[in-house]
Amino acid sequence: MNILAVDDDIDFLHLLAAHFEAINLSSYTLVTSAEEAIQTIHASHAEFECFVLDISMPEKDGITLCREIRALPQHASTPILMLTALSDKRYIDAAFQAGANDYLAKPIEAQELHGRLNMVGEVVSARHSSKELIQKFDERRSQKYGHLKYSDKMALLEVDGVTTMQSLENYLFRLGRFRSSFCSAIPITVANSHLIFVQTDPDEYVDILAETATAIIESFPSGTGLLAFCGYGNFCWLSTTTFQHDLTEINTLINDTVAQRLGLLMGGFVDVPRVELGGRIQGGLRSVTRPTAILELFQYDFSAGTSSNKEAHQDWKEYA
Amino acid sequence: MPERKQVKMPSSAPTRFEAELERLRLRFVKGLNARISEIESAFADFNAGTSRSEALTRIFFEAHSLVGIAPSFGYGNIGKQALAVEEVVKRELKASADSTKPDELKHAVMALLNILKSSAQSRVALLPTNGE
Repeated sequence: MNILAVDDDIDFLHLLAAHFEAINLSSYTLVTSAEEAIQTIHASHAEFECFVLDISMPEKDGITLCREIRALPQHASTPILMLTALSDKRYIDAAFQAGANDYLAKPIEAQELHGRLNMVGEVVSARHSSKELIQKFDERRSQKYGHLKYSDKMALLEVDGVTTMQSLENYLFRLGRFRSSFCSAIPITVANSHLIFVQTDPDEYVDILAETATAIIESFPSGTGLLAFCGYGNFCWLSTTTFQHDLTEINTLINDTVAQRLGLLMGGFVDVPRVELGGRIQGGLRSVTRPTAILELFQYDFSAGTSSNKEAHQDWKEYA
Repeated sequence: MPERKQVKMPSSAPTRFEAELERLRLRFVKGLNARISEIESAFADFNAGTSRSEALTRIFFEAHSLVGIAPSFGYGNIGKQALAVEEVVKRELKASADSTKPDELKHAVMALLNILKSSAQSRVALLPTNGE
């Protein structure tokens, strides 16, 4: 695994290097500023497969750097671990909103860092295998929609503020039991996603979901949550604040925005996404025992509440 | 005598890791004088009043680095006092001209400098510890 680590403190970088070596990660580059990091990424012949970024740096901070790395197409889904001595929730929120996958507190605990890096290593090697499989599959596929399934949990990482379900879980773990109890999850479904899936090719389907995700993010008050796509036309909005806004109003705003942006574009050949917000699932006491409890319940609610999507998935399989 | 707690090692490859950690600890201790100079210089600028927020920002980043790294080498007391400085600096940066508390900052910075100087000068800190 090829790692790029960025921290303005050279002693800390050497310490990180010692941790990398301790778990046999010998391919890494250490740089002391965000600018140097960007230059290194552009100049490097070998693609970086993981970024470890300090948040608090002079000139340009790690959150801005994270956002810039995410904007690079080749790193839209490369694992990014943020390391910082800042424990303020604002920084945790900002890191995940910028596209970070995980967040570790300084001073680093050897066992925890090694565990996290090993996990990233597994993700990277799984991505290698799946890339190879997709390549092989693409070469051989004869069916038009062969490689994209309705159930696929696409990352949609090109949209600012969209992350993965795994990152939402990491976020809640980082917040800890007490702070996560103030979070809530809102199930969001594109009620006619099955029809859109059938009416479009994979690229169009992903574009429509990305536009829908943008409309969802823009309709919630800025900086109040994180969004992830869960497959079957479903999204999870994780509200990171105790906001009490009117969900009906937000729902209307999302559908108006989607209709404005996609209505004309789709010219009647494809259904315009119809977005429906479910009820808020509050963290509360159950989060005190298990910070990710609201996501488990959230997924359960989806499977119970979106039978039309599941049936549609069956229909699509027959169609395909 | 500066406080220094034993650092927990990972179970895999402990010997090599311990040796490297000890080498880095010594490097860190040797580098403390540079950190002390930077904090003193920034604090002098702050007292001179010429570039108040820039001086505070320099103190913040130095303290912040220490919060992140000193405990990793067993210097929890440095990390703790650096965190106190970080908090005071943050408050000072937000404070208006009439709500600033320079004495509080001075007290916190001096306490940090004392701990740093004591750690930098300690013979024990510079001797190899063989993973004591």
